[in-house]
Amino acid sequence: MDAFVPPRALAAPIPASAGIGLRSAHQRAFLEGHPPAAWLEVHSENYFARGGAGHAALSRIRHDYPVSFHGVGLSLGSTDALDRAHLRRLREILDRYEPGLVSEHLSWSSVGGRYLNDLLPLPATREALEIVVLHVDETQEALGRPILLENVSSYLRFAAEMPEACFMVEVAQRTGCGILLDVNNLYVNERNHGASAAAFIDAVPAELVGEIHLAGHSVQEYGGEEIVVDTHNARVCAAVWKLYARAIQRIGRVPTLIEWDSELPPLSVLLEEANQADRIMGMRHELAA
Amino acid sequence: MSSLRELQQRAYRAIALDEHVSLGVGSVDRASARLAVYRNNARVTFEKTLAATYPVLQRLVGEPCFRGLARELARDFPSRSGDLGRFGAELASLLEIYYRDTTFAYLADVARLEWAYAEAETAADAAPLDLRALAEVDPDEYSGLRFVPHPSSRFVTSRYPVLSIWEAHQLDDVRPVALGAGAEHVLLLRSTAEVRLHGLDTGTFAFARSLADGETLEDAHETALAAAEHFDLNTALARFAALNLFTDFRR
Repeated sequence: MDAFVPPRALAAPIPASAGIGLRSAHQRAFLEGHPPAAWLEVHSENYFARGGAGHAALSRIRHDYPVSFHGVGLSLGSTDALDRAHLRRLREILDRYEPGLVSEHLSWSSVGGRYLNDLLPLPATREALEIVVLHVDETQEALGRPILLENVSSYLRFAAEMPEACFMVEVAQRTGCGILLDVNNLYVNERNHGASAAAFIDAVPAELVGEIHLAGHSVQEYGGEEIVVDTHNARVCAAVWKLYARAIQRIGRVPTLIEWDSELPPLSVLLEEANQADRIMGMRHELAA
Repeated sequence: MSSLRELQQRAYRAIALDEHVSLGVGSVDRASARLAVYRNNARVTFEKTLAATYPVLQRLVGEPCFRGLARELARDFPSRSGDLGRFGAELASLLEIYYRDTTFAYLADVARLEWAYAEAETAADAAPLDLRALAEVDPDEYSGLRFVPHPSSRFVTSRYPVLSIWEAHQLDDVRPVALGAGAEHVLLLRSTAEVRLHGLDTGTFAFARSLADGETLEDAHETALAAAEHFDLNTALARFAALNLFTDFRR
C-alpha cells in the first residue's frame, strides 16, 4: 500500500561491503530467514507495479537490509526527450522505499518513442556527452537525489572523439552524479574491442566511484567470431577479480554488488561470491594498515 | 538532424527490423556479426517477457509459433516504455487480426484473460469494504448506492470456455476442453497476495461489471435482470462481499 512514507533520515545507507542482487527466486529466503547479505539491489522497473506481491515482500525486506535501486529503463543517452511519466513513477517508488543508492546506465535504448529495452552503447562524442549531461541533470532534479551512472558492456564500438573514461568522468563532474564502475563490463569490452580495462579504472578519480558491479559473462560465437556477452549467468571470472583488486587498491572500500540475472544458482553461491569480494576489500585494508 | 539521432535511428532499424544499414563501424561482416548480438538480445527479451505474461497461450500454440508471435508483436506493436511490464498489451488484437473467423478465434480471448491477469497482479493494493459502515446506511438509500471496485478487479467475457481452458493449463497434464462448451464470464481479483479467477453466471457478471463501472445498485440490478431474468440480487451481493470485490461505497 502506498500509505506510509518514512522520513528521509530513516534510509539505510549502503555499507562499503559486498551485497547481492535480489531476485524473485530468492525472495522467499529473505522473507523467511535472514541470509547473511550486507545489502541488496533491486531493479527499479520491477517495482513500477502499483501493488501486489513484489511490493509486499520488499516492504518487509527493506526493514532488515539496506536496499539500492538500479534502473534499466531511463534511456539517458537517447536523443528523445526523457520519459516524464517514467521519472515520476521512479520518484514515487524512491520516496516509498528510500533506497541508499539509486543508479542508471550510461546508454540508450529508445528512439522515436520505440524501445529496444537493452543497454545500447553511445559514441564517446561531444554531442552525446551534452545530451547525457542534460538528461542526468533532469533526472537528478526530478528524483530529488543524485544518481550513480554505470558504464555498459558493448559489442559495437562507434567512432569516438575521446576515451570512454573521460566521457564518463566529465558527465560526473558536470552533473554531480557518481560512477557505478562495472568491472565485468570493462573486461567484456576489453575482450571485444581491445579497450584497456585497467586504463579505464586508472582514469577514474576514486572519489567519484560510489559502487562497483561484478558479474559473470559468456563467450558466444556470432558469424565465426567469438564475442564475450555480458550474460550475468556465471561466477565472476579470475581476470575480473584481478581487475576488481586493482580498482579496490585505487579506490578503497566501496559498496560492491554481485549481479546474477539468468541461470540463477542457489543463494549460497551468490553469498560466496560476495564473500570473495569482501576478502579482496579486506586485503586492501591489510595492505594499507 | 543531429548525427547521434541519425545513428540511433539506424541502429534501431538494424536491430529491431533486421534492416541492412550502415552504422559506420568497422567492416560490414564484423559489424553485422556484432549487430547479431543486439538482435538476439532484443528477440530474447521480448520473447521472455511475453512468455512470462502469456504462459497458457504459449502452451496452446507451442513454442515455435509463440516465438513467431513475439517477433510479429515486437514489429507491429513495438515496446513504448522503459518498463517492460507494459510490453505485450496488444497481443489479443494481433491474434484477432490473424485468426478472426477461424477455429483459432478463441486464442484472442485467452490472451485477453492473461493480460487481465497481469494487470490484476500489479494493480494497487486496497483494504476491503468495511461492512459495518454499510450496515449504517438507511435501507431507503440502498438503491442509489455506488460501489468502488478493488483496483485489481478485471472482467473478461468470451463465447468460448476461456476459464476452463486457463484452468486446464495450470496442470502439467492438460485434460481436453471442448471449445463448444459455451461462453464463460470471468472476474479476476487479487484480494490477497494471489490473483484468483472466478467464473460468474451471465447475470452476476453483468451485475458486477455494471457496479464496477459506477452504476447505482438499482441500475446495475436492472442490467443484471435484463441479462438473466432469474438473477438473484442477494446471492450476488453475498458473493461479492465474500470475495472482497468492493473497497468502498458512495451514497
